[in-house]
Amino acid sequence: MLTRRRLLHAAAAGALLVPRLGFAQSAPAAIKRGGTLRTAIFADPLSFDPHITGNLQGRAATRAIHDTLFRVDAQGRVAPGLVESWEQPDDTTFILKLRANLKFQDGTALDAAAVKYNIDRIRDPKVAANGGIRQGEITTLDSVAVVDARTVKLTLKSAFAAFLFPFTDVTGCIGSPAAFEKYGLDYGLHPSGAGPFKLVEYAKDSRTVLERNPDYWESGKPYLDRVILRPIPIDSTRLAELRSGGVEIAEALPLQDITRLREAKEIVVSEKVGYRWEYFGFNLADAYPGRSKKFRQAFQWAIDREALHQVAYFGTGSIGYDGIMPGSPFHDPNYKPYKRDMDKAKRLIDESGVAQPIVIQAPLQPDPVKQRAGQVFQANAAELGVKVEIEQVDSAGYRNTLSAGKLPMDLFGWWGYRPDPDQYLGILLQSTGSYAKYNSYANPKMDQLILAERGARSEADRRKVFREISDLMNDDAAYVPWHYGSDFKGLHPKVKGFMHAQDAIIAFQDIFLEG
Amino acid sequence: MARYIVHRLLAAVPVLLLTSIIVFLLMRMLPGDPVLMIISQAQTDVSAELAERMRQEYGLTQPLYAQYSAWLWKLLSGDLGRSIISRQPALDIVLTRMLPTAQISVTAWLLAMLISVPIGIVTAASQGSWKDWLGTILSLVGAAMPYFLTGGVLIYFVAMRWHWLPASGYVSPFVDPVRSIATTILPALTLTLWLASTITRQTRASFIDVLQQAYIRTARAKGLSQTRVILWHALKNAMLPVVTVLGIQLGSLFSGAVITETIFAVPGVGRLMVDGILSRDYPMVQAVVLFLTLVVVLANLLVDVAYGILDPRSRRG
Repeated sequence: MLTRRRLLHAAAAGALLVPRLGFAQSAPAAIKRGGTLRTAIFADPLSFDPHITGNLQGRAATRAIHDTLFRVDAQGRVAPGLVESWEQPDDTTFILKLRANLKFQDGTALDAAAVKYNIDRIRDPKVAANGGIRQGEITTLDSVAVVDARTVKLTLKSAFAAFLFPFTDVTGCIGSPAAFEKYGLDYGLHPSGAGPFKLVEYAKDSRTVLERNPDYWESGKPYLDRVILRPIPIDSTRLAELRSGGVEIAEALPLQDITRLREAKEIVVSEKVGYRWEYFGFNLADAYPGRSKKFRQAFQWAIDREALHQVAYFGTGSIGYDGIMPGSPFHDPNYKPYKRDMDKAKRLIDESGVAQPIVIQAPLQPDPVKQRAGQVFQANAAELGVKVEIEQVDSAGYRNTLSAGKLPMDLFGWWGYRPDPDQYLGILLQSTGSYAKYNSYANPKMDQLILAERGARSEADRRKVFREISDLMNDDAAYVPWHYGSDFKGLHPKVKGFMHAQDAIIAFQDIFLEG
Repeated sequence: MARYIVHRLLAAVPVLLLTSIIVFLLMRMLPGDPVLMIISQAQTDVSAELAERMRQEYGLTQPLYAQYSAWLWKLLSGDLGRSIISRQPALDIVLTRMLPTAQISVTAWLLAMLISVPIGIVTAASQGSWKDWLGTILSLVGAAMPYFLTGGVLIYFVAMRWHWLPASGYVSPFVDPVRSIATTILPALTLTLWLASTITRQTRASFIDVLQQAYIRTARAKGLSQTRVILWHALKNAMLPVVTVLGIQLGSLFSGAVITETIFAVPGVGRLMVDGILSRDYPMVQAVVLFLTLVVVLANLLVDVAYGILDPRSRRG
């Protein structure tokens, strides 16, 4: 029998008083209004259409323009956004109550009908075929209904505890239906949301200029008049711009410079652990040595996680033993099931049944962290008598081999944080997930656990299941975890109110410039 | 001359066609496709079925000849297609990207000429002296310095230490002429250093050759000063091979632009092409290559016209 559970959350007033996205970088200072914040980003946003945009920079700018239905709080839980409160009368129904008087930048109302329009658009095959890649995030959704002007009812096909999480990201960005109708697929260049900033200029690979939205719902915010995003692909140039005062924030600081930069007076380094999850993945198909469970398990004991932490990450971030990152309510800092044991590892290789000499190819795309990690892995494997042949390929070549299911092993790991571990563990571990398919991984027990985690009724229940998932994942060893990487941002000391979010996306509405 | 120019322009059509076919095929021979790159950025579960639908929408599932003829047909009506990654019209993107590249390349080219021709002449005129040695060493250093090193050193000192110029970016001269010049100097200088060394060596070699000719000996025997011999008698003839090199280098400046535009975050065609190749954005790469081919063809035509002015014997048609 379904019990009526109310997951009613703090209303707007309460939410405004609590810093939401991560930890404050500096002590509270008197808020100063106005000014322009220049940010050096590492890639162009490409599109501001929430249903089409893909990369981190696109998602960040799109969220600044549209805001999201929900947000993630400092504990990694779903918090109110455009949705003021919500309830879950049963396992498969969510009733969302929107804030009053929300307005798009084109003057039309952001109401329940607009939310339905956006969700329907995500599922529209025409939009999907034009790069609308978000539909995979809401496949559990059965129907969307408008209850009244401010109330939306979402009905799911099956229970899904993490269902709301995609709506904390671009899937939860609501664009003006009038603008979608007017611009069609060109909406990406003419976005109209209800976010803190509006797009006033976009020159690909040069700059994106966002201007304060005076009608933004969060009273008093944003503090800044303008935000300029400048794509600068080279790490050292981004850093030079920050140090020479050309920008106030630079993202993705180079790891090798972090220790030195922390001592620099002209900038403040902000670190957020739990941004990249690193594992060595194996393809379980018959053609590759990874078909043997004992072969895979050997690496749990053979890899030198401390060396990887120091060499690949220059001692930043933290060593990790599963896919549930720090910052998530399901993370367990005491989960350390492996320590280096070469005798055990060698025994497992001997028992693996893989014919000697063992050679495994590892195509690797250009990424300095992975290249260093690959070299350590190569050395560790050599001690086991396993020869790892690292082959440098470009990203498209790597993706091609991966998606064809022909990547013998994957040195790349999981790039970028999603707020709930279900969001990526499902892709990697559930037999229907795309990565699980690429790596020929399927375990009915794992499928059951993923379903159990999704159907669990409380956070405590989910935590218990996630522990079982970590154990089973490590025993199957299709993915051998080794690290949680950090995101680093460099800030000019006058930047205040910055909260370093787990997903590395900056909440510009909270920032102001001092002095 | 006019007939010659028209003739050369017509001859450019098969060059453009052939280049477009080669680029079209080369891009498709590379592993991977743009849909996979869109998916890789998305950090979400995209089913194989959706990926296939996207390929169909972009026409990537059709046979190659059909894809090429569709592209060519659209081209005839001035449509270069849309970028698969950003979904914007490729022509609009390329046009806005030509100005920064042209501005930096032409500035570098002019600077290189201003620096290298005098150095080349001085070193050739005083062969074996300390000036010659210094010039030769400097041009060797310039040729040996990779762009990323020159660019990095310039950014470090000029932007970071001395705060004289911005470290990166680009401002259009129509928006702010002063800032436009400021953002052009560092990337242009990076290209100049390498280009100037190549032209210096060419000028020196060419002048040494000309200065040994009989008519120069005659001019000297008439009692003309060294300056007059060089400027009135040697310069025009010695510049012939230099003009050829200058023309060829204008084309290779674009390959340099690929690196400098990335280092200095300049939104030019070089960076556009690299990003296009890496993300397998076929329409984008085809559009950029078509434009660059056109520029190189025109540059070579200009060189030939200049050659005709300098050397009447080469005029034809």
